[in-house]
Amino acid sequence: MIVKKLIEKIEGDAELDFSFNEGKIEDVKISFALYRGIEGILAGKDPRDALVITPRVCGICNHAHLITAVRALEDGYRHAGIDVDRQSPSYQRVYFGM
Amino acid sequence: LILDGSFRKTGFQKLGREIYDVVMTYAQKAVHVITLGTCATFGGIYREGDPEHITGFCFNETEKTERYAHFHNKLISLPGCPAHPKWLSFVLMALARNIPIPLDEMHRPQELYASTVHAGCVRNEYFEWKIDTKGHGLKEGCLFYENGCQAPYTHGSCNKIPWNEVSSKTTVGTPCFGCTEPTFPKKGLFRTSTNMGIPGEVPLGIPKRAYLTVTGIAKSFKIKKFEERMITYDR
Repeated sequence: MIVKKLIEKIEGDAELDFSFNEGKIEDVKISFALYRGIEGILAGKDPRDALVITPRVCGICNHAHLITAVRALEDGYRHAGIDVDRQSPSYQRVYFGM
Repeated sequence: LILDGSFRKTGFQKLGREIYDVVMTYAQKAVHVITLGTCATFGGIYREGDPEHITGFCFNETEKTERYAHFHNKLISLPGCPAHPKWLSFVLMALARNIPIPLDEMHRPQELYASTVHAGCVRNEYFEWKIDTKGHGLKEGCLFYENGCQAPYTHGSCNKIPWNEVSSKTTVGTPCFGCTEPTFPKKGLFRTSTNMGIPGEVPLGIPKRAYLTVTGIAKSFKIKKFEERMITYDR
């Protein structure tokens, strides 16, 4: 027997495909129907545009995506020898705290 | 029916059914179709993932899609990335009470989108005198001249209906990214593309000649107050 179940509470939606054997779960396949390709969308843009585009991947967890973009940019600045550590970490802690 | 997210005809299935079929079934039954957000309205950010197949529901950027002919009589566009919850409640309340909602050519409620995001901006004095800010997050300075602010030509009411009832991008010192526009997202959102020091795109509805004349006059004055901090903490 196969039961399909939608996962509704995530952005982008996923589907679980259960196979049962004698009342026990034998296998579960997870499939994501939606691929939006945000990395490809960012290609060729000003790096700072990632601060606007990346968080829009999700309306619920946009902060996590934004911080990821911030950290990637900061790494880039650090490699270029620019000091970004003076203020940024404390801002990030406040941001996550909220 | 409220639609969100950009739109593709094939290749997006849920429980083995194309979402396109589900959407079309309900859109035909619905009395009103509201496209909520820039993706659903114009295609938005995710249109860029596959511009040949991904569009908004009734618009592909500014072009009308094949669905426009079927649904334009019941279409209400609420672009914005994101759309403000109050924009949606404004429309739903008006529909519930049978109050007519005047729409523009993109089917946006004029009550919400007739003016620009620039209207009500707290930095208007700096805008008038062409003084740009020295950095993000400062109280002083305009963001239009160097920092990419698109508020003067972006339809929306972010500075009239604030976000979380308190603030907006330009209030805190971040440029407006033009997220309600069919052209969103443009490239280079944090810098203004200029032509001989003048922003390439001038405020909505203002003839370029008029804008350049006023700019020339405003820039010829040096005003002391604009060179100082607004609030001094160390006095």
